[in-house]
Amino acid sequence: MSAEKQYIELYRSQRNLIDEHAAPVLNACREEAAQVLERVGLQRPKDFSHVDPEVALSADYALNLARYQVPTSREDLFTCAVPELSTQVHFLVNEQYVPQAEVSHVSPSGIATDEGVFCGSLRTFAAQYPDVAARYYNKLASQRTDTGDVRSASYEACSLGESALNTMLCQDGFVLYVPQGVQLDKTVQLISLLRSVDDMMAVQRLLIILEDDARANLLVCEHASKLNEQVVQLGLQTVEIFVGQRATLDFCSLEEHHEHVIRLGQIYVRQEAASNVAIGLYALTVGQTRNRVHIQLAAPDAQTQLYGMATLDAEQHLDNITFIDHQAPGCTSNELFKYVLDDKARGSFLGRILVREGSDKTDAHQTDRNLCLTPEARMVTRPELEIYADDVKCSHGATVGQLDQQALFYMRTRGIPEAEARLLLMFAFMGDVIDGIRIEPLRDRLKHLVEKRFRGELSQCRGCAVSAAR
Amino acid sequence: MALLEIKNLHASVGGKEILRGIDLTVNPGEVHAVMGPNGAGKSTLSAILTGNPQYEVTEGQILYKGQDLLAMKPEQRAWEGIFLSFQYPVEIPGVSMVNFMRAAVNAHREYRGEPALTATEFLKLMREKRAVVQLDNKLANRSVNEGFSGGEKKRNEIFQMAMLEPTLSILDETDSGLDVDALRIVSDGVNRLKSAERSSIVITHYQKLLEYVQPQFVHIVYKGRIVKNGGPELSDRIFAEGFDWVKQELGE
Repeated sequence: MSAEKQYIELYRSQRNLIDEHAAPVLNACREEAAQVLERVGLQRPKDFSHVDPEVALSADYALNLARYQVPTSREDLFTCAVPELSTQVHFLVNEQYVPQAEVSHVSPSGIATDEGVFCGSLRTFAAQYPDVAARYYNKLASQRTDTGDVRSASYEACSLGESALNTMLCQDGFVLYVPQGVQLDKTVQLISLLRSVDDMMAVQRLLIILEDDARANLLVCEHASKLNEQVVQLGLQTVEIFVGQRATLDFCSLEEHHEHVIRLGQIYVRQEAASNVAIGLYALTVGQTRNRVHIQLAAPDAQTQLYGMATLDAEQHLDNITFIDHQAPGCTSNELFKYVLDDKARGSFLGRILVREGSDKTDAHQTDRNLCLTPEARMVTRPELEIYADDVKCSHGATVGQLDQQALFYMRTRGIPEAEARLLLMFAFMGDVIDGIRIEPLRDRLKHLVEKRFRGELSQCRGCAVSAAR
Repeated sequence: MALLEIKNLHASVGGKEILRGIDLTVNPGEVHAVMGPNGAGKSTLSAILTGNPQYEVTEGQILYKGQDLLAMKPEQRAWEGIFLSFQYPVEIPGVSMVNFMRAAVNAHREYRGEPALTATEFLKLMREKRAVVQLDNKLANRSVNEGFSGGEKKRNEIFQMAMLEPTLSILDETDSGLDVDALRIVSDGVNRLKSAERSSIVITHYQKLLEYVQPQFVHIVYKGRIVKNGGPELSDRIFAEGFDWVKQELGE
């Protein structure tokens, strides 16, 4: 039996249990999602992507449908390497939101503020504000863009199946809702932790809503506890982001997983007129990760910055599959991805930009640069620009190369040891993609982390972050 | 003891033999000029001395302070006091001059068993040495050699030399592409480092630099060998007559 059939069967037999531990708005979307999944399946992407969802999902994962509390210690939660960037720290353990009161470190005070901001559990949000939740939940993840061409359809089917699986099983997650005109000064930090003693799948869902003229920064730190050498954890994460007119969002994901974590992520963004969004996907360590990002510039003069960075070694795999869809005139998109691949790491970048008919004055740029440090490292990159409007400015560039041997020698003649010289060059290579982070303390912190990562000291850093948090 | 002894050095790049038996001895405090037509092997010699991995030594020996130089890594040679002012300094986008220099200076200090400089000490040192070659502060804040003019790159080489205070400095056509003022600044920088312990090998095509730095020994390299040794009178004759007479003497 195929992987998706197993999950559909599980859903049909456990429907009551699933519903009982969720909320009506979430439950209302399940059946349609099951049908979509049945129809499109979990398709292997017909491209060079390395992470195959069908294989990834075929293992026998436990699912915590009855929502048993996962025992979690404070130490676990605070192994985040970006501690206390913000006073607004929230936690997801697997798919479950951990109420702040349970983490004594953080004040339990109001999840919903006076200004109407909601920051917390998806299940709670969907139960307390069903109208708002229903207006947004699953509206992007289930959407078919229908560009009429075969290739789009094939891309879409891949992420559609994964999102449908998520929607079919989703019980909780995280919501950030910022009402019209409200500006959040403090960066909201969400620490998402995968934790289990057995092979497990976590069905995570994030819903981010910024109404017109709102502003927010969200940092998501992705971690996994390694409680058992062999345990495989699968994070199935669907993120839906709605950004209203003139609203500004900085969304940054920092991934620090171990080798037995598989992550299938889908990020959907819809931007209204003159909105401004920066998405950053920073992968310090991964097991096997595939990110799909779909950004719709749905109304005029919206601006998007999509940045991604990966430092991969051992046998880590990372795919980033991005689709920026210019649907309206005068929008700007700026995309930059950089990978450094060591050992036998594998990476791929597939970046598609679609400029639809009528999207004049589009300004779209894409750059993907990669360093393979060993002959065994592999990187595949494919930029795709499809332009159906006349008055546009678009560019793309992709390179795969090695460290500059001349620069390396020059540095060594100055007495800089080879290892240090390599490090300086790798760090320099990542300079622009790190500088793209608009949240300043995070930028500084990430510089530090990337340097540690290249020095091979990152695991020690996690240890010291624990003590720093006390 | 000689500082540097090159014995019967043969070297090739990409399978092509460039050096065909170089012999050269440099004692402490001496300044040597190496001249020769284009393609004679002058730059190859500097590449071999600094350990460029693209070049292969096929025969011969180099002793530096009595040790086997060829067994040392490029960074080790630097720590032991060898410095090359590159003919074509390399641009390193994204690595600031400050970070680059700090890494270099502190690696030298670590080798000598000295503690790393504090940020204040280091910046003070940078300031002092920058003044020697009149290198603008804004260049020091940029990426290594990136966007530097030809003259600025060469001055930056001498600045690095001043920072690292090498025992054996090799200047590979440091004077080419410099205007008279820059040439004087560069020469001053070189002369300031002169001492009874420090030695230099100056590779050049031009008279001006040699007038400033005044080598005691002049060597002519041709087709991978040193074909003539002499004093300043040798370089004077080259500047007056070119290399043809040397070739004629060799029966060519």
